Amino acid sequence: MSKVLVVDDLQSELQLISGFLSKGGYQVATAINGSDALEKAKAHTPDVIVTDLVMPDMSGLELCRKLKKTPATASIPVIACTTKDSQVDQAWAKKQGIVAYLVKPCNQEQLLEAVKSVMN
Amino acid sequence: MTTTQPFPYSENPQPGNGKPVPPPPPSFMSWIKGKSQPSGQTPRPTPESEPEDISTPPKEEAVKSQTLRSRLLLVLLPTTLLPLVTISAVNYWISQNQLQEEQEFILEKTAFNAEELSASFVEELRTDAKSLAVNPLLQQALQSADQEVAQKNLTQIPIERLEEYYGGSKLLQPSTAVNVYLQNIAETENLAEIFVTNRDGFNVAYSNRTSDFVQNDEAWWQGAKADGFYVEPPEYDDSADAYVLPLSTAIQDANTADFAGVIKSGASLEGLNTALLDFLDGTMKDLKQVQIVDPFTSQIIASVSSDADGQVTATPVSEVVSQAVTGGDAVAAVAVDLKEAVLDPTQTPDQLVQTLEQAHNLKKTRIERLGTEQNGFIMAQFALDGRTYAIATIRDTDWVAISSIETADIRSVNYFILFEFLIIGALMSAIAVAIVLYLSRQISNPINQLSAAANQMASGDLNVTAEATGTVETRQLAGTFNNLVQQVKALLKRQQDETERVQLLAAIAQSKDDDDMQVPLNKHLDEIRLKLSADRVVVYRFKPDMSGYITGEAVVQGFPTALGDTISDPCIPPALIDAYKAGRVVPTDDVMRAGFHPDHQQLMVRLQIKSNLVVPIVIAGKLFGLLVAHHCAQPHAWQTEEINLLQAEAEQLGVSISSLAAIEAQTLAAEEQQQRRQDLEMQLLGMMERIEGAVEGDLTARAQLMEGEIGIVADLFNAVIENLQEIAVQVRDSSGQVNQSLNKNEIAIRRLAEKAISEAKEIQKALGSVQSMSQAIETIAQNADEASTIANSAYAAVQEGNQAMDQTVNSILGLRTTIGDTTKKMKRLGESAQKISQVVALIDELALKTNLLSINASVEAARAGELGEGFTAVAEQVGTLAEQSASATKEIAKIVASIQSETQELVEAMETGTTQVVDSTHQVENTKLQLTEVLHRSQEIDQLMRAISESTIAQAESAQSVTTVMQAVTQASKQRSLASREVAQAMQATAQVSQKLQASVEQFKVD
Repeated sequence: MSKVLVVDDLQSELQLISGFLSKGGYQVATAINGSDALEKAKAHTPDVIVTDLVMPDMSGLELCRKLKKTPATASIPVIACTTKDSQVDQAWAKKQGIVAYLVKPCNQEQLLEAVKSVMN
Repeated sequence: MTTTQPFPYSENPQPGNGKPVPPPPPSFMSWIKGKSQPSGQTPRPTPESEPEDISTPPKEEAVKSQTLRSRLLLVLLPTTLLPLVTISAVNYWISQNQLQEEQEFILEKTAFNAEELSASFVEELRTDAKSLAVNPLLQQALQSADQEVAQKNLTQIPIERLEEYYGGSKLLQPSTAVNVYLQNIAETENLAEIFVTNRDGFNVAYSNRTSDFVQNDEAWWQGAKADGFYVEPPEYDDSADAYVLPLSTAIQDANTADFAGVIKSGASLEGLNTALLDFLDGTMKDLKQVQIVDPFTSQIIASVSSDADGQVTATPVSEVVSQAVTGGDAVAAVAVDLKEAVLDPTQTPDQLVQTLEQAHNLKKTRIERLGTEQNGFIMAQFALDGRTYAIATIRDTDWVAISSIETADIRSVNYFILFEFLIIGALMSAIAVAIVLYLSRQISNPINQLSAAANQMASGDLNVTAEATGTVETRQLAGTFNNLVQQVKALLKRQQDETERVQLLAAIAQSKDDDDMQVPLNKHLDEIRLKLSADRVVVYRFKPDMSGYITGEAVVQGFPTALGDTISDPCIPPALIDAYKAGRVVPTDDVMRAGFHPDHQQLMVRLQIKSNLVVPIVIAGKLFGLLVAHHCAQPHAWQTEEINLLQAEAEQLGVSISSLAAIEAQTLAAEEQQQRRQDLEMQLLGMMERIEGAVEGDLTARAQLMEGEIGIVADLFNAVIENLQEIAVQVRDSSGQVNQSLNKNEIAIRRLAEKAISEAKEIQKALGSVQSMSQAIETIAQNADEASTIANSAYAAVQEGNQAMDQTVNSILGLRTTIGDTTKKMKRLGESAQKISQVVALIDELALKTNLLSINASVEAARAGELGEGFTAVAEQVGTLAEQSASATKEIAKIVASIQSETQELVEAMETGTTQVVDSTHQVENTKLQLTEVLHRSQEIDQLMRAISESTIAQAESAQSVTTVMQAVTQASKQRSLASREVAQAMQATAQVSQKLQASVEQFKVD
């Protein structure tokens, strides 16, 4: 069973996304901020990380950069799930190592499709 | 004798019994071609004649600004005058041609007549001479003359003698009767002289005494005898005091018709000239000249000319003979050619024309052969150098008749016709102008009145009417003008209305907001209301949220106003909005029965609306509002025209309002932009606060990733700071490590440097020793060199001494030999002295014996007495001599004895010397031996010294290379020491940099 680490500063979002993924048959871990996510990623080495971008202290983008710089986590694909919807945001995120970009509110289908596609 | 006839001066001469002059052949007449007027009258100018340049056609530009009168003048005058001018020009041209042909005809006719006259003049003279010849009196005289010639055989007598013999009368048989007869003839015929010769050329009779008796040597006589007739050039005759034309004619015997003699007569030139004048007067007309010319000699025979008035005069004979051919040699040459062509009938006139035109540059040449085949002549006409000539060759003579006129004069005759044409043209023009002026005034007066009215109207007075006068056309024009004025009035009214409308719409278009637009919009709506006869017209404007309000209204007084009402109309669903956008029109005839929403119906009631018509106002694809017309008194059935009208008005209104809508949209956009800018500024401020620490070196500072565009910038900054943080940490760690290792290495390097320095010093010392040793070796080498030099010079000195010794030995040995030789010679000298003393002893004995003999002799002599006396004297003499010889011998013996003793002494001395020489020789040889020993020794020394020198040089070289090596080593050592010092310094510098770097990095907060 593939593991997905979900990162979001909002508990409600965390629950929603976790719910989608669980229904999709994934083992889900959650983190409420970037530092937490870094540690959990190192500890559990999930197959995919789904992260919000706008978070206090460490943003999803910084998290992604840090993951890419750490050899143990560099190969984990990172999916952004965020309210930031401009073309510039998406282009910049891709440059920072985000492989798939979902704009909130996103539905289960979109999320699962994205996760599935990045795992292949 | 026959009577003579006067010369035929008439136009149709009738020669007496001569050959008739042939009439002009038909071909000559054909030249006239029926065009010329033989009467010579100038053609009457036609009254229509008109010079061509009396008026010029009007230019197109000028027509536009010309008055009717001048335009009529400009159009009608040329129309009237152009045919006139054309006809005049054609007439002028035809008459010009006719005149020219006539002049040319006259010219030819004149030449023809002159030929005729001249030919008949000559023919007459010949006939006269022939009729004279048959006179019996003269025949008789000739016969008797022939008899006398035969009797006296005069033909065999030389001319000089004949002249002498007949010098008195100059006649063969002077006969007064015949002479008087000839005198009568000369007087009657107006001849200067006349005389006759027989067949031998002797004078038979004369009218006047001649200068010669014998004439057969004269050209004329021979010419007449050969050709039967001979004409000489004119000459002045003193006796007649006139110019004469000498003519010689052969006489035939009356019975045998043989040549019987010659008659020579001098015809008066005056006669020919006068005859020519009379004959041509009336034919010549004006400005011509006729000459009878002998072209071969260019001699003029007769000349007649006419002036401008047609007055014909003959040139006086005295001037004629010295006159030149008119046209000069060129014309004379043409005449000669023509004369020659007469003799060659095979040449056709056309060929002749070609030949002559080429040869003489002639123009307009025409040639015709006339007369009989046996006795023909040529008539030629041509132009040359501005003159037109007609030449006729004169039969039976060398002459031609030349008639000519200046070519320009032919034309000048026609100029006065041109003048007449001009006068008539001017008159015609004046009449035409007068008529045109009258007509134009008739036509233009009503038009002018109309024009005045039009001007009045143009200046703004529309209350003008044109009076209907003049022709039907002008009356019609006045009526049309009045109609026009009425129409213009109506048009102006419409224009005013339209202008007001446009102004209102413009005011709407220029307004900046609803309030600004209110007044013009209401006025405009009122106009629409009037057009529709509606009770109320409103503009309902949508807000962005699709609620709306009434922004303009025109309403009939008495009904409630809707202006300012804000209506949140729930009856307008989005679908209807879209329909409105597409231009949907909603006419409602009775609102109460339309089934509207109750709220909407309530509004209708409040505003007393009975029926309404709604059309959308769409601006740039957006629904701006609705234009609504109401009937409030009673329901109204909307007509298509009304709907169309309101739609058009809505469209027009939309165009006008569009700028207002655009302005409002702009304002909205500007406000939105302002809001965005403020948001951005706020975001920027937030970000600035977050990242302030980074400016102070806090690399742990992070910007908050936010919604909006700044969020990306924030993350961009974060990415940079993250990298920077990593770098700073790396730098801090690395510089620390560098510092540590530097501290360790520094001591080792310092030692190394010191070692290197001491090593360098030692090497330098060693180098010093090597250098001093090298110097010592060099000194030795120098000394050895010197010693070798000295040894060399000693060796040389010894060699020289040895050589001197050898020379001494050789000298001594030579001396010894010399002494030996001398001793031997001395001994021989002693032996020679011995022999001399023996000889002397013999001589002495001889002297003694001689003396004895002499005494004996003297004794004997004394005995012999006197005879012996002489002999005694001799004996005595001999005795004396013997005594003298004995004494000399004694003397010699003494000398020889002394020589012998001296020689003995010398020999002894010689022997002593020889002994000494031998001793010396021994000593020298000893010395030489010793010297040789010295030489050997010094040679050995030299060789030794050389060896020493060579080995020391090699040593010195080795020492030198050792020094070089040592220097290189020293240099290297120095450099090494320098390098290690530099390394030490660099290490220190690096340590300092590393420390500085560490200090700098420590400024950043990275943990």
